[in-house]
Amino acid sequence: MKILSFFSRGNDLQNELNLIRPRLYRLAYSWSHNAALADDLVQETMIKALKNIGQLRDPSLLNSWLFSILANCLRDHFRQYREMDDIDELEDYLYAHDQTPEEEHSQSQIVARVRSAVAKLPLGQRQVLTLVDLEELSYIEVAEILDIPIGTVMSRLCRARQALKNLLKELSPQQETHASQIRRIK
Amino acid sequence: MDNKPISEEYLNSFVDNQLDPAEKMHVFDIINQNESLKVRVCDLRSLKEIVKHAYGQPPGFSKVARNSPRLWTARLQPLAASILLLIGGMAGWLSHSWTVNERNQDVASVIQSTQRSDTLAAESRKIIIHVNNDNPMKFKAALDETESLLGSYQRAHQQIQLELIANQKGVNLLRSDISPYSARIATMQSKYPNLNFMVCGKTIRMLHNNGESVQLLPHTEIATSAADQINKRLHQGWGYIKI
Repeated sequence: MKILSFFSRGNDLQNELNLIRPRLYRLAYSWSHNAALADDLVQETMIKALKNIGQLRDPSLLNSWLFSILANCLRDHFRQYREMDDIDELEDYLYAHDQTPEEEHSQSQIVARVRSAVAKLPLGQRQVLTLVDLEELSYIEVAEILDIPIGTVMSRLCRARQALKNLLKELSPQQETHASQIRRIK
Repeated sequence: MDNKPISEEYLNSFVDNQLDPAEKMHVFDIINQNESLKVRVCDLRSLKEIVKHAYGQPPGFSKVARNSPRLWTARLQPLAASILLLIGGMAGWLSHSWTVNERNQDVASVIQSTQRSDTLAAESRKIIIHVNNDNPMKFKAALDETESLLGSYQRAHQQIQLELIANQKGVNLLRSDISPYSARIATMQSKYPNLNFMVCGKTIRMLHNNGESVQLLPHTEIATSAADQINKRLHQGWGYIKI
């Protein structure tokens, strides 16, 4: 019976991992704003989770544990590639600041604007903001996942929202006010 | 509960449902009497919703890879289980580590996606600036250096992340009751979201032990210790400037 329960537990784990995979991807994408990198990070997180599943004492903490692995994977990625600047990305960045009609159109769309603003936040603030807003985690959980004091979570979140508010104002399409003037002509 | 003005951090805690019922009631009471506070709460709630909305459907999520191969493993596992039961004597041979590793390989291949990472996210420049004494010239130099770095990278459309950490008497730069630069620091914080001010936790504990009441400027973070933080950043490849 133990063997049967072992296999059913394996299935349960796979089901749970498959259920949480889209959430992990959403989080990875909100941190990196790069679909391919987000996909790689999620895969790496899943592999690490499966290798170290024995370390997870309390199954109810699976989600937090996976978010924590994801944060470590992203940190490792940046550490590994910190000497490299991708020329294509640099050009994308520069071109992205030309005021092309396409750019103006995308900037006018709320989703593009918010993502662009979130991408401009420092990674630490971005991580706290998305864990609280997208995953609706408590400050204590976020502190544990990112391995930072709770005061830092509060401070980063506060600064992230203030910066986001300002960035959204900056990124909102500037509409010139052509107020129609009515004059009485005698 | 006193009648001190509600800080931005506290308001965020309220919006994020992190307060206990008594604290929440207190905030509700204050909000009801204060229109500007109502607007701030509304703004924060809108921001939360808008962030959630922006990532409702992130682009490029590959669903193909996680579904089809999984069916094979789902079918194979009961089959493997029955074979193992038939050769019951072999069951003991299945040590925990072997089974876990074997399963890892199966599922690791299952979650392989068709997508490949051909681009790498460019990492921004990262610098930690260290102040450890209360010489007014040093304070000014630290802030000038910080602003000059942030400004020059911003003009060049390059990313930079900066941390200014203060320890020993340098923490006076970030104490709200002592710092001569509190207004300038607040302006810098709102202008540059990529700038962090930190103080050494050991210095703060020492000051508390000496009976001093330390009030830090808003948004100042407390590191375990300045040495630990600098060491950590150097290991992560950050640049280091001692003022």
